[in-house]
Amino acid sequence: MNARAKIDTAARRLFTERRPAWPLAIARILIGVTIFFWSVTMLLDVSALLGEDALLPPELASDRFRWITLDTSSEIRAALAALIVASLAIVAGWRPTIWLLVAFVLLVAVQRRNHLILNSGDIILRDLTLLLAFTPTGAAFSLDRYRRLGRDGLYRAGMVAPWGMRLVQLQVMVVYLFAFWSKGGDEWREGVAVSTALRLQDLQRIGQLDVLVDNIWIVAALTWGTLLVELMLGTLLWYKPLRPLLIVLGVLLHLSIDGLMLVGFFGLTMIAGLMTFLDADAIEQSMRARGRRQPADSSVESETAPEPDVESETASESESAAASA
Amino acid sequence: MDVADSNDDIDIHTRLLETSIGRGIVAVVIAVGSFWILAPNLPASAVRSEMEGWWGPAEDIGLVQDWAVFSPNPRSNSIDVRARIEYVDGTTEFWDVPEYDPGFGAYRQYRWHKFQERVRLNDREFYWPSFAAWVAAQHVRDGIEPESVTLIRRWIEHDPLTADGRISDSGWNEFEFHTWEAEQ
Repeated sequence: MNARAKIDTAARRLFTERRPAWPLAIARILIGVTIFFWSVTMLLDVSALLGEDALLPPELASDRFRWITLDTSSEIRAALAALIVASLAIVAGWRPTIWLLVAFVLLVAVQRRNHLILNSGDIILRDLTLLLAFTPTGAAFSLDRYRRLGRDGLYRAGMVAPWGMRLVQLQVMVVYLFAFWSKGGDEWREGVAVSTALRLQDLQRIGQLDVLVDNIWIVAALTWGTLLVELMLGTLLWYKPLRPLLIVLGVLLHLSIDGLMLVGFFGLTMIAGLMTFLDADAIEQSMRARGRRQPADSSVESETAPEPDVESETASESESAAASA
Repeated sequence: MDVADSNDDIDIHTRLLETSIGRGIVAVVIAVGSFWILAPNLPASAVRSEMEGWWGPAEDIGLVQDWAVFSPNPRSNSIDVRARIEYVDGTTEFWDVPEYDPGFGAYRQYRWHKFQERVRLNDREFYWPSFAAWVAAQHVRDGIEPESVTLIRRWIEHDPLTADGRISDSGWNEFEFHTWEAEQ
């Protein structure tokens, strides 16, 4: 096989070979939950942060394109109510592609009303919301699937092309890689940066834990450990043997940062992004086993959903196993 | 046949690959999307400067890349902005950002701290008059506006942890950076 044929084969496997949609469904649900809480928390501070009499008046809002100009408290509340509806539809899996696009437009419109209150979590939330709209997130564990296939459809995922998911994964890895790349300062090199970061009072969530800021060994382990995990997440997530370990390390990194620091929705959103790296075939097998333990839904069976025979099930599994290489 | 694989169960994203036009659209989306995700993160250079307009459309619609967190080092100052409100009768009050609980409230608190972090900067002085006026409006007493509102920048300096495990943090420093006065 020549080099071009090898590249063609690799590209086809990377972007087009179908695999179960479970990881996308899990990411969709987590992003929906995050948008829900983002909107609810924002709704509580509309008057002070976003309304016509807010601490940043409408004329000083971001001069970037805002999709929809929202200047009054009632307009913002309506947009946030729509975002809550969108988030519930995304979680439920009811026309998720459309609702993800709606959510993205509303997130940008609301966020650009007061750009002084945004952090990286707000930015990655809208980035992943948009990118997930380019993926078939409704092809597993969704209301759409339940309506079409009945309860049986909830235990089986559609086989989907992963081209859109690759953009989501690229975005997630880029966040880690460039977060690592930018940390070139002497405090990171010398292994003391975590001590400084955890002493910043305006970022403390539960106060200061002394052992995490003045024990040189623990601080060095946390500082260099953060760099190592970020580097590995930014470069090795597509290496299948290490993927489960890296997902666990990534989730632990975010949970620990989130537990100690005021980082908003960054951790939740990145965990949602990490879910797209889950092993689709392992989830498929687990869900099928679970589905077999459930009593059959006779009304659906008779119309659209015959139990798979041994031959077709084996074919399906071997296809997805090849796809996940 | 497996329900998951039946033909009418194929989603639109996957079905796009069944036609040459669809495959073309997917190729363009992947190429443009990858560029918009990767290129804005490149380190500063002449090449990057030349290309900067190429990801303008992505940033305009809201796909923004900026992942330099705690870099190159964590900042060395804790930051606070408070306001001193003075009334005609000589009494004084202070405004501080609201403090929420560390559970659910943490997901509201970070926005106020981000605001403090940005509004205090000298190159953001065009935000100061409206911010101070907003503080004044929050402190109208019996229909009477405060006489003045002074914005105060506060900070604690944190030295890096030393090899022998010593940390050194200053007390709060203060600097008054803007005063709003009621129209006479």
